[in-house]
This record gives sequence, structure tokens and C-alpha cells, in this order.
Amino acid sequence: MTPEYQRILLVDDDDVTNFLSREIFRHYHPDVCIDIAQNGKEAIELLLRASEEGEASLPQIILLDINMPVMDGWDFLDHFKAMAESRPNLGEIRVFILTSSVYPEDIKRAMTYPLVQKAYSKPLNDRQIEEMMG
Amino acid sequence: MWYIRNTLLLLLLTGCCIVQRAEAANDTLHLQLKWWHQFQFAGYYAAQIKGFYSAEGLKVKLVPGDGNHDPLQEVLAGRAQFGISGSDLMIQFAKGKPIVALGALFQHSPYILISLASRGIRVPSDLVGKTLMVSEAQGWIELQAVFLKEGIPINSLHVVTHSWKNDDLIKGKVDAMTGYYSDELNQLRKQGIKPSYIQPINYGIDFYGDLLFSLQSTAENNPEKTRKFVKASFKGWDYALDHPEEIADYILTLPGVKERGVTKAELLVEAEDMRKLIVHDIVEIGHMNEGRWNHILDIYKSLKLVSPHARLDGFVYSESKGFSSDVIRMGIILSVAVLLVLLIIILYSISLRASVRKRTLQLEKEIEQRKRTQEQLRISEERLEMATDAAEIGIWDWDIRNNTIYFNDMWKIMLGYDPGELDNKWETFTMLLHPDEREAIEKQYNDYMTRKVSSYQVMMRMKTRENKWKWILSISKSPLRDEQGETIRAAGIHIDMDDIKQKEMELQELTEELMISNKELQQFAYITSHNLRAPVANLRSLTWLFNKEELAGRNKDIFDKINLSIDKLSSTLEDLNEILSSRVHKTELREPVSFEKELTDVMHSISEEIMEKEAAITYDFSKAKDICYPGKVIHSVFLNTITNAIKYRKEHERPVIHITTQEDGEFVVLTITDNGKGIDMGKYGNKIFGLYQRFHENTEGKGLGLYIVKSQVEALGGKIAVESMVNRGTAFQVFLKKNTMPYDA
Repeated sequence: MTPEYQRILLVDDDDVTNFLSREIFRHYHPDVCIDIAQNGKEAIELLLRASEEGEASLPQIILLDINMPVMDGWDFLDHFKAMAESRPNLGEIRVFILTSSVYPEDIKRAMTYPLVQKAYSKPLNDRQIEEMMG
Repeated sequence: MWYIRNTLLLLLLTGCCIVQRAEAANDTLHLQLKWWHQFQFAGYYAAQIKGFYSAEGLKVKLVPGDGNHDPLQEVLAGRAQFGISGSDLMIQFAKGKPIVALGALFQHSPYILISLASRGIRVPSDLVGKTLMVSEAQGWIELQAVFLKEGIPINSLHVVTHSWKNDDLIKGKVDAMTGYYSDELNQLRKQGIKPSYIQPINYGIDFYGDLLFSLQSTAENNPEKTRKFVKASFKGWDYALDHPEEIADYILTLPGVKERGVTKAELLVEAEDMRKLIVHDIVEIGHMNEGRWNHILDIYKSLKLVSPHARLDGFVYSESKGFSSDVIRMGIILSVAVLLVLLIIILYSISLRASVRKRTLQLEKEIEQRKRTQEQLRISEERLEMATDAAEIGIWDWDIRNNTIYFNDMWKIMLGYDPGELDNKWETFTMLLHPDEREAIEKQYNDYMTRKVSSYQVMMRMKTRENKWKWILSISKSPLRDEQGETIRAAGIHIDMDDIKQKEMELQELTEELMISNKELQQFAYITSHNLRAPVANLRSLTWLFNKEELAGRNKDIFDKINLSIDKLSSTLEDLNEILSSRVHKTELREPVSFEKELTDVMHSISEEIMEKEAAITYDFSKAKDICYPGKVIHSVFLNTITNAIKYRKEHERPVIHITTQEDGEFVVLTITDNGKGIDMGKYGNKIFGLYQRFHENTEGKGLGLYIVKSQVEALGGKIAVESMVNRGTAFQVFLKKNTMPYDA
């Protein structure tokens, strides 16, 4: 597998989902480094810090849930877009949606954000991991 | 005998010669008309142009009149042999003028006093102190009788000579003028001015009008000529009244007529007005009654217009009274007259008897007819009453001009009142209206009455005797309007709609409740499927990650059962989501869908299965190639029926599927037949489209597809039917409802 993907940021309020996502990632890519944020706000803070610290602290992939308390996925996308404009190193990050929703409306809406590469329904499977990492 | 016959013959021959000679000696006869050419003299023109005068051997010239040529003066001076005048001719006769009245055209005098409706002059006393424009020769004398009869002295009026200009009246130079019923009234109306008029007949003054007269000497010396002239003239009148259009066309060709701007339509209006005065259908034209003349004379006497000793003798012309200076002619006339009188008496008595009999029969018939009409009216009234009673219809009928209103009994009974308890007046209606609606309903009525709307229909509440509100439907249509378009009468019905209205309101409440609970259910289904999905998905992943090898014995069995339960839970949720997301609504966007293209897409998506099972799929969409429909539903129909047919194929036989379309009224029918196992309709017929119904063992079907197809097709107004025989095959008929609404661009 490609070693350059070393950091992944999981943004989800569900501990079980985060636990599972980490387990499944590690199952296929044992040396990946996984950060976890409980909601959009935490994710923004984490990204700001990492942006200060430098390239090594920044994730290459963000896996984002939609329904979250404090700041949901949509709000996060808006903030992140604004932030990336002043911080070019954030622009490299690829965002994927991971949601429990199976409704086409949600998927469609997610795809209207240019930042979003793809939207997946839970649970995460090997094919999706390959797509993200590949 | 022989002698008498010869003498008579001789007498006759001699008489004829003398008469012929007398006529040859005289020149053209002049008839001085009273006024310029107009329909007033139609009969004389008719006699002229239809040759009635010439047939009698007469040469006649009709001389139009004007304000300066009084026919009386013209005749007295010998410039005309005949003239036309009013009833005041008698005054001249009483004053000693040697004239004789030959016949009366108008049985009622056409002379009237004309004013404008706007002046408020309606009765003779309104004219006291007012200025009157009059013509002595044109009716003023007989019109004076009206004032005198009403006790109004003529010197209380300001009388001026007629200018013959209607403008003087219009511009207010005078307040009224003498005129002709069939003439000036129409001229004013033509100018858009509403005239008012005073007609003598309404004040007990009923004179003859347009009298044909001559000098007594003319009638005495030329009795034959006079008789012929009178006869031909009135024959002309008969013709003119029967052919008004023809004579009107002729009048238009006379000098001065077109120049005055007279039109044919106006002449015909004049003709119609004259007809009322001539009363042609009752009285023979020209008829004069001596008794009536005596009455007229009495009026003149009482008004002191003639001497109290004046007599009528010699004024009224009578053919038999013709004089002759010629003794022979007298003899002829006498003998002929005697014979004629005898003949006439015989004929008259025969015809009188016949006419009496005829008239009696007519009267009997008329009475019978009237009886029958009354009976029919009674039956029709009864019928209406029975019908309105049976239908419990209230009726109202409003006479707006007199502000009276009629309500039938049912109108009142409907509201719980005895018919006697409510007055028939407008306020009865308005007082019983619901205060919240009263204003709106009165406004609607107003709009209806003032022609803003042509029909009226309103649902309203009215108060019953028990002080409850009752829903009443009031309907009315096509009210009666007068010439100005003012509504003068309107009628309509009341229907008790209380029960229906209550039910409608209950139904509406129920519908609203159902809508709310349906929405809640949808929300609930969404939340359930959505929120359950995340933990179920997690559970699946967790069991997948779980290291089963570390378990043993009973724990291992339990874990397997947990795994199985999660699979079932997960699969049920997937189905539920599929059903929810496959739902369509009536408002779903429709687009032109080609059956062939959609089928090809579906076959492509399941090509592996088709190849594996060697399914043969054929189709014929020639009857209906496409439909405006949500594409996903057509896709779902093909996908589910085809996969079903493949799934339930017979063992050891390749599945054969045939699909056709056809038009059927508002539907396009899609028929899918297969040669599969078939379904036992007796056993499962009513369950085929139910959720989770499976009729065959050892197949991977979940029984979801047909349920989805059915609910989708039905949501769009269609239906689905199935026929099947075990081991023979199954046929589905899908009725796709065509778009009834215009295509939404």
C-alpha cells in the first residue's frame, strides 16, 4: 500500500463508529495514524493546530459524519473551505463523507461540495478503504 | 215586363254616357295633404301607385302640405277638390263652411301635446303659465277641448304660433307644442330625447283624426266621382297597412323625403304608431259613426266652440245621400240604389246571421280555450307545488320595482317557522342571516342585482326558530331586467344543506387528522429506518472484527445466533429503506419514457442472471411505444417482474418472457407473461402483492418486488392484475395511468 497516507482524521460523535473505522483501517493498513474529533468544532481546532505545527501533523484524509452535535458536517465543510483559502497546506486534504444515511438527497447534497471526494454509507468496508487510499 | 226592362236598360245607358261625359269634362283631382310626404298619407300613395284611382277612371294629384297651406282653405278656394283635416272640421262646418266629411282614417285623433320628460309636464294643469307652441290648423282647436274640459282657461296658457322647429322645444324656448302622435314623438326619440305627451283620449276627448273631406258641392254634383275617389282611397289604405314596407320604400322616393333625413325604419315606426289609431282590424277604414259625431259636437257645444244650435245634418257624407241635378241620373241612382239597398239588406241579413253564428262559435271556442288554459295553469301550479314540497325547496321571488317579495311556505318551514309567522319582506331574509355573513351576502346580492354577475349561488347560515344556525343554499339565475338594464325582478330557490354541510365539515376534520397522522407515520418510518441503521451497521462490523476462533462450545453457538439475528435485522432494515425510497407520489415528475429503452437498460443490469438462466426475453411495444411517466417506476416494473419470472422458472426449462403494451382508454397496459411455475391463485390470489409473501420454497425471493411495483403504480392512479396457473405460467397486467394533466414545461 502507499505509505504516503499516514494520517487520517475521523470526525464522528459515535464512539463505536470511530472505534470500528480505526479497527478496519488498521486491519488493512496497520501503520496508519488516526486522529479522532467528536464534532466539526473539534475537527476545526485540531486542523488549525496541525496547520501551525506543520505538514507532518496534517491528515491526508478526513472521514466526516453529517449528524453531529455542536457543529455538524455541513457547517464543518463551510468552515473548512474558508480556512483552506488562507492556508494552502489544508487544500491538499481529501474529504470523504461517511454517514448512516441511505437517502439519495443526503448523498446528493454532499456531492455539491467540491471538497468532498465521495460519500459512503456506513459501515466502512475494504472496497471503500481501497478507494480512499488508492 | 219587356217595356220595363227596356226602359231600365235605356236609363242605365243614358246614365253611363252622362257620367262619362262629366268625368271627361273635369280635369285632374287634387288632394291637399295635411303635411309633407310621410307614412301618414300612405293609403293615398298606395291608391295612386297600385292603380286604384286609375282603375276607377280618376286622375289624382297628391299635394304635400306645410304650415302655410291649410287644407281647408285650399279646398274652400277650389285649388283642391279633396283635403285632409282633423275633427275641428266640424267647427268650420258649424260656422257655415260648405264642407262634408267623407271618411275618417284615424278612429282616435293623433293630435297630442308634446313636452320633454325632463320638464315634468304630465297633465294639462302642468302647462298653466307655460309657453305653448300651437298650430290652429294642426290640432290646436281640438286640443283646447282638453284644457277646457279640465277647467283650465286657455288664457292661463302662453300660446305662441308654431314654428315647426322641434329645437324650440328642445332648447326650452317653449315648454310644449302641439304635434302628431306618429310623427314628432319619433323625431324626438330619434334625437335621443325622451318626450312626454298629453293625449286627449285620456281626458275623455276622443275625436276622429285625418278626415277626408270635400266641398258639399263636389259631393253633390259629382257623387260617382266622389264615391270612387273615397272607395279607391280607402282601398289604398287597406293595401298600405298590409304592405307597409312597399309603401315606405315608395315614400322614400318622393321629393323632400330623403332630404329630411327620413329613413325606412322611421317610416315603419310611424306606420306602427298609426296602426294603433286606425284600429284597422276592428273598424273598416274610413268608418264614421253619426252618434260619435253627435258626441263630438256636444263636446264642442259644451266648450262653446260652436253655437248651441249647431246641427250635424249634411256634415257626414253618405253615398246614398248623393245629390244630382240631373233627374235621369237621379232616377237611375234611385232605382239602382233601391235594388242595391234591397240586395244589401238581404246579403247583410244573411251575412249578419252568419257572422253572428260565427262570432258565437268563436266566443264559445274562446271560452273553452280559456277554461282549458286556466285548468292547465292550475295543474302546472299544483305540479310545481308538489315538486317543491317533495324536494323541500324554498322559493323566493322579489319584485324590486315595487319592493315586494314572495316566499313560499317551504322557505319558512325550512327554518322551523309556520308560514304565517314570517312576513313577506326583504328584511325577513336579512334579519335571519348570520351576522358574520350578512354583509358579504348582501353585497353578493347587490352585485347580482347590478349586473356585475349573471347568476347567484351562495351557501349561507340562517337562523331557525329555535335560534340555531342552519346551512342553506340559495340559487338564482337570469333576473328580469328592463330596457335600461335595471333589474326589476329576481327569483330563486333555497335548499336545506345543513346535513350535507355538517357531514362535509366532519369529513374535512377527519381528513386533516388523517393527514397529520400520516405525516407523523412517515416521519416515524424515516427516523426508525435511519436511526436504527447506524447501530445495526456497527453491530455487523463488530461481529466481523470479532475473533470467533477464541470462542468455544456454547459461546460459539450463541455468537452464531447473534450473527444470524444481526443479518436478519440488517436485511429487514434494507428492505424497509428500499420501500421508503421507492415511494412515489402523484406529483412525481413525469418524463417521456421509451419502453424499449427502459427494458434494454434493465436487461443490461441483470445480464449475468439472464445469461446464466438462459432466459429468452421478447417484446412488442408497437401499440404503445412510450409513456409520460416517472422513469424509475417503469424501471422497477420491468426489473421486478423479470427477476420474478426468472426466479420462479420451472426446473429444467429455460424461462421465456414476453412483454407487450397496448392502449386502453386512460391507461397504457403493460403485459408480462412467463412460462414459470405459476401461482395457485385459489390459495394465494389475494396475497401476491403483500409484503413478504413468498409462494415457493428454495428461492432467494424476499417477496418485496411486487409489493413495491403495486404501491408505485397505484400511487400514480394505476393498478396491477395477475393471472396464473400452476405449472403453466403467470401473466401480469400493469395499468399505467396516462398523464391527465397538461405536460408541465
